[in-house]
Amino acid sequence: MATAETKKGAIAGFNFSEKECVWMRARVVATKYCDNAFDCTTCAFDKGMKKKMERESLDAGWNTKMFALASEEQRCRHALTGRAPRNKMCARNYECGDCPFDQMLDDMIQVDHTLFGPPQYLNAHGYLVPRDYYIHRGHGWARVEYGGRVRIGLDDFGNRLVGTVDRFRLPSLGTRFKLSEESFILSREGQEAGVKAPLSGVVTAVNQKLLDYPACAHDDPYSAGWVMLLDPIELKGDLKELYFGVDSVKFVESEAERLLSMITDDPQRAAALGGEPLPDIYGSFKEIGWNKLVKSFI
Amino acid sequence: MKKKEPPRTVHRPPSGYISVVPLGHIKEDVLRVVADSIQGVLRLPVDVTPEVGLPESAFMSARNQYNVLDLIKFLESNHAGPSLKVLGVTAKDIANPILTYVFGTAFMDGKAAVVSTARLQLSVNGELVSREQFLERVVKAAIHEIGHTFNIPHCHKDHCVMRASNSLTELDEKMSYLCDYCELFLAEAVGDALRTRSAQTRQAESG
Ligand SMILES: [Zn+2]
Ligand SMILES: [Zn+2]
Repeated sequence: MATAETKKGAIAGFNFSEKECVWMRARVVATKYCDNAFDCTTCAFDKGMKKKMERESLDAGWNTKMFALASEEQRCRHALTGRAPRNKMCARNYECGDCPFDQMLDDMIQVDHTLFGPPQYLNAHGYLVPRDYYIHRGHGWARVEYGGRVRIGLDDFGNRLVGTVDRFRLPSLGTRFKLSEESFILSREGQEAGVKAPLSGVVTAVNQKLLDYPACAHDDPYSAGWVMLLDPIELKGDLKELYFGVDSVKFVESEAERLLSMITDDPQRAAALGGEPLPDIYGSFKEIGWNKLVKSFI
Repeated sequence: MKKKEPPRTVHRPPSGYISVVPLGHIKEDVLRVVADSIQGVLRLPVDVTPEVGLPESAFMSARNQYNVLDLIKFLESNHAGPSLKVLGVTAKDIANPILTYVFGTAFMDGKAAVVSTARLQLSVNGELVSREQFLERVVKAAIHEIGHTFNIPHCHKDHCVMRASNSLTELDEKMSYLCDYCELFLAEAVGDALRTRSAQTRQAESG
């Protein structure tokens, strides 16, 4: 099938650790690299592992192993693939076989898979960069979806930078934005940051859930944390201004390095340490100041 | 490696999950906002069909209104096509035999729903509201009724769009999002609807 070929080809060239199978990342198997573009729904290995898991959960061998290996952080296996919010924890000792959340997600995946597909992530110094999304230099993301509509949000780097936001201000339906014009505004402790529109267009939908639950964007920046839909005006031209694929990864990596150089004298060494970036950079380094952070990156 | 890659459409969905059908003339911006907001919030692909005339049989001349139950039946039998759900949008005033007017109506788990923009232009004091407020009201009414067609009942959580809203004030107070519970209901219902549809397709192909 042509699409499968494209998918397989498309992840070549990214750094190797990115191809770790979700079962490897969950430390259930020692070495297994993904050969199916992280599309677990059509992966024979995933099917086999699930069967094995069902069998082994009977004698508790498998989940004991999962439990022991993933000890400090029992993250839901769906969080590893990006299907569940990344902070979703497993509450059932990885007994996915009879987990209602797992069942529900499998149903949702079936649904979601036929629609826009769950985001598949690349890794830029620990920051999540979704495949198939465009990234603006002000850290807004844009995803072209059904009907040529474009969904917009703030990327993982941007969300970690501003940290715990207490309020979103969304534009009114029908508002027209030019590329890079300030579009939606988030605020924290009375300080504001206007996120630039990743493309020119008219606002045709807004995510009002962010008004009641502003943390949605931070917890799940590329799905539940979407901010608005734009009806694009100059899609083709505008997209040329944005980063995509490998370029997005390189861009976010360079941003991460720039950020580190504000924080430490030895960014090279700090970068090499790897790991997951802090969830609240502003809150962790208040001495840098909101305005400087926002002006430098958003 | 090429500098920029074009947007890929690996997950290109089959069209026809939800169709928005203008019943009589509806302004372009209203249609776009309704279609995009349904797709935005429900994450289901939405199409807009060409304008369709209102059936005269649904007109209640004594009340100068259209019977919304007749409009729903009309959409179900004439304009459902391959979509899972159909939303009729009309600028005409609608009512049912008992209620003097409604913003919209749907049958639980039904195929079609109808919303009317007729009563959404004015404030409680009878003044014209802003275009933004008007559009927001239409969007809330539309998502709410489509929610009912996916069997989602009324909800009381926060400002969930599935809150009942019998007045403009109530409509203005709630928001256009689905709470986590209603999102689960929706995911389940969409899964069921897709499975039913593909079973029907298979049956039709073999029969
Ligand atoms: Zn209702
Ligand atoms: Zn609800």
